Amino acid sequence: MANSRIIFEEEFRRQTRRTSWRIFTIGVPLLMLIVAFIVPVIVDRFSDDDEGGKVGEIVGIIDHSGITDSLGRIPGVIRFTDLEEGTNSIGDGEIKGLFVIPDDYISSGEVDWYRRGGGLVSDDNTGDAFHNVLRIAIADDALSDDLIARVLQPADYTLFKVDEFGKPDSSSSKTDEIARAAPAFLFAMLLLISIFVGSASLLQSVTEEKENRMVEMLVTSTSPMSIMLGKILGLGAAGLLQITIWLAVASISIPQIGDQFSALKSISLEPDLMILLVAFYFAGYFVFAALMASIGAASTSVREASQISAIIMIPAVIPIYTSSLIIPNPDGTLARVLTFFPLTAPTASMMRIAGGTERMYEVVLGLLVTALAGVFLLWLSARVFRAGLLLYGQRMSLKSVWGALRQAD
Amino acid sequence: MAYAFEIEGLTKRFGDKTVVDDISFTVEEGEVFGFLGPNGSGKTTTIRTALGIIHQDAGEIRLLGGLSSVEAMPRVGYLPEERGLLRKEKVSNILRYLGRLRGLSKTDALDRGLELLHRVGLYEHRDKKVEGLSRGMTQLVQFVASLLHHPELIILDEPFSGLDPLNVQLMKEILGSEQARGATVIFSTHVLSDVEEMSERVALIADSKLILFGDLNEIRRSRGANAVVVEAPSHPEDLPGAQRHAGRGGRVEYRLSDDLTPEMILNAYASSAIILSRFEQVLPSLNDIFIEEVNNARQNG
Repeated sequence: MANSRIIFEEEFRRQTRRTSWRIFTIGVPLLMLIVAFIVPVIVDRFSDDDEGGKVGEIVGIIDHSGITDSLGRIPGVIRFTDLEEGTNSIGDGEIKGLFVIPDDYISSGEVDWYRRGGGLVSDDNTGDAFHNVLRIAIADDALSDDLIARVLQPADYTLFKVDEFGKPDSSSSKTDEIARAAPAFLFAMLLLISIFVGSASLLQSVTEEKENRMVEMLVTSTSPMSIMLGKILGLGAAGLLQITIWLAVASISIPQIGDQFSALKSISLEPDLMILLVAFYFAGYFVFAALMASIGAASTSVREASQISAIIMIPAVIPIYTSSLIIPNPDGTLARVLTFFPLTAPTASMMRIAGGTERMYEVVLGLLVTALAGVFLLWLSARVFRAGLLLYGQRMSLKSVWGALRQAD
Repeated sequence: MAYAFEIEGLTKRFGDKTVVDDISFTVEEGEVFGFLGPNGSGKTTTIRTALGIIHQDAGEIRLLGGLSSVEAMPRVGYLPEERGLLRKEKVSNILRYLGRLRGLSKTDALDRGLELLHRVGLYEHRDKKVEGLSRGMTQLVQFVASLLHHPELIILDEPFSGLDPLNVQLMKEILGSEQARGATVIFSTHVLSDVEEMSERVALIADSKLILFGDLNEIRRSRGANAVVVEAPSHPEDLPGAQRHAGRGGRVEYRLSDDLTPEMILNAYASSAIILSRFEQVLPSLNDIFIEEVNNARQNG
């Protein structure tokens, strides 16, 4: 295995000197900058006639009931007396919408809403904003300012979690949840990015190794296992370097992301959870990398291999896609099943940690399953790689791979 | 006696096809050994199996005085038949990489690589990418790579194929000095003159089977003379059963058979009162033996 280090160094060196790697490493931050600075400018330019959609935009009001009279001038609201005048203002784009409150509003609760036809009503939050205008108007006569504030924002929750013995947790607040969920999501995203980026270069590297015909010189110098291990770790390190550069550029150049990071700094996640997340990141990367290496070793072309690999990546996405089911119920059947399948375990466990699972031992067990699967897949990839030598130039069918696998020990 | 290379009953099957069929031969320490066979006869598979790249279905392999392939590998240099190097890599980088994998330090690997590049006249190309080299140059670089770690056993699969005569000569010289250093060299080929020039002992395989193994001269002698060459101003026309090949300068070669012995030829010239300037029995060439043995094997098989 001493040779793994040499291969690791070589793969890392070769990968980081590739033009494609360098372009990608620089290109993604550039793209981020474009998205962060140039896109908003363009969007702004083309949408200045569409100021609406935000709370506080200008709307018109015709109040036949007189309920809003006591409020006097309301910021962002223009009073009309004539319907035609109001609708003309909508047509001119002067106001976003017009609300007509009838005489019998208090008993009927009916309000007519005039708006331009474009866009979905559900996306138009002027209706919700106007609700608040009405709430204040209704409450204005009867309630004090404090009470009005409570009507508008009835509760600020502090959560207490009750365990299976009926004991409430000493203190768990919303910020705790964010502290737990934010790093878990961050690591899940990092893992996905690493897999997506890393798998392509692994596939390329393994198929290239078969095509450049150096294999025979390599396998007489070292074991296929060392070759695969060195490759997976070397390319993994190159990928990690790439992501680190991206994150660094992103946090410096995009203030919003920088803010997120300073917010993360104030989050103190329990160290054991943090260690678990990091462990899952590496175990998860390793499992997928070893699997990609096996696929690369069994395929005759990069194109063929990438089709299969795209399917393989779906399991990693499933737990994130179903996170709205896992996080509220981190110990539910779905979460538990996904924890014990090596391809879903890393992201599923991250989501369970985000949801605050009470069965931490299952998460640790999931980590073990993932790690063991990684070792097994490494062994498999070495075997397939070796089998590929026997099948040089032949198309690899499942049957021929299996036959060669049994021969190559 | 310890052998540098020893295979016994080596057999390899791919599916139903037996590619190496019960092959046994030995190579002594310090010799240059020729491994002969027509294309597709199983030479490469025999070598790959002996080196442990492919596993045998039956038979024993002992290298460098009894070691297994895996044990011996750090002391073996190997030039595969499948030629190729990382195309986008610099020559010196590749040599450093392969040298390190063979156990040399970074600097030793590079120094040794450059020294050998000097020797094959490619020092100027050390910083070129492989894709910028000609096929022959790439082959020389790969040859150099197999010698980086001063191997005790050097196994070359068709080393001279595709090289120009100058480079073939260069490679032969280097192999000669490797032998002088004490290394054992085994090379496979289907070019008979290479074997006749370089080896004293050979193994010949055809259709997966070993058909000849031993000292080249002994093999030729054991076949006896199969022809007589006569040089004379004229030649008798009425020699019964004679197969004549007329050469230049009044030279005629008679192929011998049970019906035509050297004595009968000599008598025929004597009775015609022709004075001979040359009368010589000719040992079969390796070429003759090769063709005869391969044909025999195919007819019997």
